[in-house]
Amino acid sequence: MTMSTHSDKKFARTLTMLVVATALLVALMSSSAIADAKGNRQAVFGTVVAAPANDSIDIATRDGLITLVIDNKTKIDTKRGRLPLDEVSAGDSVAGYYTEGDRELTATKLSFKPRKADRLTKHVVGVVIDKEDDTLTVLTPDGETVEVTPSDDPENDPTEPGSLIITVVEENLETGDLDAKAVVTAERTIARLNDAIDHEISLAQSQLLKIRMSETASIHLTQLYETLDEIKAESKAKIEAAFAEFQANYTTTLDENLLAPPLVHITGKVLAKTLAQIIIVKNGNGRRSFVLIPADVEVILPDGTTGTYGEVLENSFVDISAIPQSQTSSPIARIIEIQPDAETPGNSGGNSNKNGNGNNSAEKLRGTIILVTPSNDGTHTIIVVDSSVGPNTAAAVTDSTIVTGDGELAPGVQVEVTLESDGFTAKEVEIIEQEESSEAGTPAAAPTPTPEATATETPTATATATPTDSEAAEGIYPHRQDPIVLS
Amino acid sequence: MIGTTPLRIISLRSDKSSNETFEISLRNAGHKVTVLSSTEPAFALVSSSWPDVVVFDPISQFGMSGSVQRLRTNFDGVIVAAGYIPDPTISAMLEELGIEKFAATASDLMAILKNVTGRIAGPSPHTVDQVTATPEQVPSEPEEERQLELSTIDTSASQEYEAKSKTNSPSFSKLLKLKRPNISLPLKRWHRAAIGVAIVAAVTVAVALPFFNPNINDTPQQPQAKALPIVPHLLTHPLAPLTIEELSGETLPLEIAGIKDQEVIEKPAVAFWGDTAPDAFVTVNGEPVEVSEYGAFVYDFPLEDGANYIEVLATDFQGRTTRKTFTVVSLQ
Repeated sequence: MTMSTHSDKKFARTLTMLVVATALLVALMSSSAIADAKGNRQAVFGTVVAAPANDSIDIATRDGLITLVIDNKTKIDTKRGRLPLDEVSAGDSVAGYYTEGDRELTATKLSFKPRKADRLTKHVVGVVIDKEDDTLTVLTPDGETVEVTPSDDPENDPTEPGSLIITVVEENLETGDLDAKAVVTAERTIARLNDAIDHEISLAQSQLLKIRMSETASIHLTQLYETLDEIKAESKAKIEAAFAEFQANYTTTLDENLLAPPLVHITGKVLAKTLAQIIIVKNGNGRRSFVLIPADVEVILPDGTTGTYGEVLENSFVDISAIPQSQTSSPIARIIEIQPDAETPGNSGGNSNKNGNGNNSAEKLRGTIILVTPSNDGTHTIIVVDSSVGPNTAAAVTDSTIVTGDGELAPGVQVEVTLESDGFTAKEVEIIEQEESSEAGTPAAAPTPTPEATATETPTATATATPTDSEAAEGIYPHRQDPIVLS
Repeated sequence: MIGTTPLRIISLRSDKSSNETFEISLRNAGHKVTVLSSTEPAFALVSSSWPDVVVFDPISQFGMSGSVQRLRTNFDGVIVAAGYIPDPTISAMLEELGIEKFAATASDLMAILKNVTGRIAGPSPHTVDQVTATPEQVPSEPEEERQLELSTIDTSASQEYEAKSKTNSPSFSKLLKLKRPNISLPLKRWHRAAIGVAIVAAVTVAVALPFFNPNINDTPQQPQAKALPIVPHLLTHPLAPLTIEELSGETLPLEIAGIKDQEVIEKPAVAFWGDTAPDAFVTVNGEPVEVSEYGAFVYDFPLEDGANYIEVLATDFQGRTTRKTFTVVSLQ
């Protein structure tokens, strides 16, 4: 019994040590393996140069062309808006990471987005002209009518006919369908700014908020004023009532902040004028507005100086800030701003997407070249452009590419690239500006591809920008440390 | 306006302080200033946003030794104690804690900043500790400040306690000298072998399973990863307003900090913030974001392993729209 107990204790100790040691060993090996794998991971951002083939894919990055091996462990992101591997083609953007092995780079996880997205999220500004159930009919400043279902919670929907709203919509670019997600109204925004003015806030910021508040009120009333011209008779009563209500509310709010009542902006070409009235034909749509001219109206000339009403000539373009009355009586002009002749202003207060969503101009990319390198098959040259309006992207310069402008196609040069319909091949490359300080062959923005990476490539002439001499012809290959020289 | 690149500055001061002299001077000089008064968000933002300079009021909770130590640990850039220090022992304490730059007046501060160059935008070398804080775990703001004060005060007390423990308290040695349980296993040898193999196998499987089952990492984790412990309260007092000239131009201003395009992030979440018009409507990947009366907003973006696409869209009622897109890769 004594022997048995001793043996059991010994065994228990041995067993415990064995278990602990095994666990430690396994944990150590696993974490070590994981650490090794993680340590070799490298992120990749770039543009697909050619559709994946032979279980590999070529990607143009700002550091050069790389080839990633795709094996059965490679994960491809297939969420909405991403491309499955079999739909990937040249020009699509790619991001993800790969594992660096001794001989090859193996893609671990990649995500492909088409150069031309099929969906676009955008903000739509407009006046709600009708509301039925949970569907809003919104009139945009461009005169388009959009139907949106703005909220998951219709009972808590702040909109009403006459509201000026910004709604976030997702547009299917193929079908044009809009899917609205959320909404913000001008009146709530003004109320928020008004509340903020009472907060602990600096005097300068308070003034800024008041200006923004006044501007927003004016924009809303202007939009409503414009809307009254657009909509059908049956909706007019609602909008007119909304106009009167908003005007009264905003006037009260602004008055509490020692601000003048909100004005409407009427922009267009002067069709006719009398001493007491001016008739404006709004740009583009032929609608007419009648504005009363008081004796003390302020006139601002195109050069910014003050003028007189007599200097407002027929056929000139004007932007009038006026005190709104109602639809049946004309607004009273406070300020008439004469626009330069060359300008053809649109209807003010609603220049939709002035700065644009950008994504519709996918056929052109503009920016600075950060890499010039032959493609892996040697048939064309890839340029990677640091786009001024989006992420880096790449294009292929082929024999058919027309290159215009003076200078060299080299890193540091600003270009505008017009793409073919495939979204990758450059139809035209316009050299806009040479980098003054750039030295030939020594780009500062990106490393030149190593000779090893390009040594086996077969030199091919580029574009219609045929080099004029042998020296220039040599210059088209970045691995020779020379920039492309164009005729 | 300054002739050099504007610096991104975080100013830490008490919310009770009404002295905005430093911030006003900095902003007039063209720098981007964010003022924070809440302790935890302040440290989180300093850690995650790699500002060029951190300015703190030495006569506030940020001037306490614990806060200064924490600030010094989390931020390796320029730190300036800005404000009048009535007691020279406070200056001595701050110097001892590694604070080398003092500005009693706004002009002192401007002189210091003349020699500071903006840091290259890039991920912070530091990480935010509290990446998975849930709302329940996050104490309210006054509690945090009290906790910070207490922890600072308690440092010496705890050291004293530890010293006493070493000399007087037998509790640790008692614990160590507890008798080991007398294990008795009346089993046959093959039983023992079988049990041993089973235990080893079970431990091996338990340890190795998470590493070899690819589906485990793909399962969405709850709660969602956060880069900042508290987000909404940051919006109450940031002070980086744009001028009316900036706001009235053709382009709606939208500046984003804390994230850059083609960034590699080794965290499960990233916090970024931006400045725009105070009445702008902002969405991040289509989701509306609360914008403060200063036009500031903060967004805590949970990252998925691999590529993440972030689109910030700001629009005002004039119809001006500005869009910023970021592609980042998260290595988790």
